[in-house]
Amino acid sequence: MIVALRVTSSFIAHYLYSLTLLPLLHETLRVPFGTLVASSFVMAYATYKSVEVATLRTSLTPCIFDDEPLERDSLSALISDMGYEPLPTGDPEEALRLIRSGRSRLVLASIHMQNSVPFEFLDRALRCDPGVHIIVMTADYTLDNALEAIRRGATDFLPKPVDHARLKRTLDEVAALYDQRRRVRALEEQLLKDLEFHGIVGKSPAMLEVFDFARKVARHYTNVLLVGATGTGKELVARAIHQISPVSQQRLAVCNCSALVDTLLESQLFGHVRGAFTGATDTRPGLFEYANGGTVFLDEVGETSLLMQAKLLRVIQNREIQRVGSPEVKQVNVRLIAATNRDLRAEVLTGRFREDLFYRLSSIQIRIPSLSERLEDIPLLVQFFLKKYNDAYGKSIAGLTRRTQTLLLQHPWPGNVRELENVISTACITATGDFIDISDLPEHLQHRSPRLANDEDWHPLSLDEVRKHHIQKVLQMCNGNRLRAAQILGIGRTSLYRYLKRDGLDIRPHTHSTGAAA
Amino acid sequence: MLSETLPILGSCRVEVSGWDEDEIFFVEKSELSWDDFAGKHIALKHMLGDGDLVFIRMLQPTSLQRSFPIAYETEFIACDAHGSHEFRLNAVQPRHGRNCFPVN
Repeated sequence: MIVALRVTSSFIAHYLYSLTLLPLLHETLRVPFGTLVASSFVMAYATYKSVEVATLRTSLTPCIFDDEPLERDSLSALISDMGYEPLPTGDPEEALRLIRSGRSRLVLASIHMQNSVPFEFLDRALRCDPGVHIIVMTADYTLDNALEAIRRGATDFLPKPVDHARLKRTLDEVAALYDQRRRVRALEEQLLKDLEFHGIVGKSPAMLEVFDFARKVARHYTNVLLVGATGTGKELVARAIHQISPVSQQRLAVCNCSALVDTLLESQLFGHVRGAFTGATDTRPGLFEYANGGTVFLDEVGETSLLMQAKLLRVIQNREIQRVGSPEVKQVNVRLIAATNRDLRAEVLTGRFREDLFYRLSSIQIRIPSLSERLEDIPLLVQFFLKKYNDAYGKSIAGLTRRTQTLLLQHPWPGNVRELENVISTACITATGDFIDISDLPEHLQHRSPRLANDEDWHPLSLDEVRKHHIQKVLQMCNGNRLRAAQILGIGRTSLYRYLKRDGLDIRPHTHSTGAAA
Repeated sequence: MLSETLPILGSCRVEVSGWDEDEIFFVEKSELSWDDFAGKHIALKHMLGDGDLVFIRMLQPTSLQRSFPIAYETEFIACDAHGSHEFRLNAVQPRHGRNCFPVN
């Protein structure tokens, strides 16, 4: 928006200036006003474009690296005439410093092909900053050398003496590309702001659906269940729901149920009185009392014991708690958000989770998609984390090289957004240039093949779909023998029948050729 | 700044994430403890190599903001009686320019 405004105001300024000249031109040239207005528009546009191109040129500051002083000076003068501000040097280390510091985004490098390692400078420069444009110039031009230079990452390969027109064309193309990237970055930053939902980033349909549903339920919920794999951002969604709820001015208490043993968890949630257990030296309120009037977020609720589940059910049903060691029952008014990475329905079937608690919690259920289900969000998330860790580490990394972006899009992301955040954080610690390259990523990612061979037919399925598909395959493998299939699946035969019935699969018991029912 | 040390006294519950020695991504809850002599240390079920990066996020029940994951380098100390691996945590500093400033 700011860029567009600047561009528009710059153009209007040129147009208004040309309009002030109209009466003079009308008098002098005796040309109709209409023609002059149209001409002034065209002139203003041309002036504006030339100013824009000139600005691009002055911001590019190409480095001229040539060990021949006369040739270096002559090329510098030529490039100055083209409107650029060259930084000449005969020292390769100085040229690399200019690249590393970001002062030069374009280098014209004179290379002697008879050197033992002719492309050493090119390789080192690209290692410093994979985003830098290197135009190689040489007196020993051959097609093979040119192709080799381009293959290694050079922008262009020019024979010496340099053809001025071609050099100008190449420089202007790089300047335009540089500007294009700058504008794309500005637009991406704007997009990031527009697509952020209370600290969560996403533009995929799956995430937009989550945002929309969260907005709707935030006003009315008393209990919400968030379901999603580890690292998908369940806590962030919980915080967002609290922030847009009518109790946002009240407290939010977060409790990770898997981090504590039962006794500690009970004390943390419900509080305790002095002397209730060894070490209880004072009376303390629990998180439900702390967040009274607000929200309690129970992360990983599927990890709680059946005993603790019974106590949670009491809070949900009666909104009352009892401090450990106290006979007094206290009323609390809290909204509850619970989260789990488990299939709680399956946990209920296996008896590991209370059915009544499950139905109480899951009256409103939001499923957070895994990162592999929303790969289109990766560029946006990368940009979000880059900004976060640039600020945190005092860096100014502009982005990722194309090959790094490709690699990230091909990774299966078992750790979801948390893994991606860790990857970007690691890369921000390691990177010293303006762009993150593959070598800045954690080592195992650098050498990982894009996807495992057996992942080729992988599809982003829900856990229910995966279970249904898996049960079908196991049944096929067992020739329909349900007892054997249940053993392999690690569930009881009754549970298997329930799954088969719910998934609409054939539930008739298999009959062996011997006539025995499985 | 992120790379500064966590303000902890004694011990606190944390969430540890990173890549284990088999290069598998893991997330594990643990207790981060600190003392003047040994610095920060942690016990994990996952085995890590010396110098591997882990990200530590404090599990603060009453914090208004979700806490920031902070990067540390691990240094293997020993296996404890429960089969967990004990590590010393060394703070890492981001590299600037060509320089790297390891701390601790």
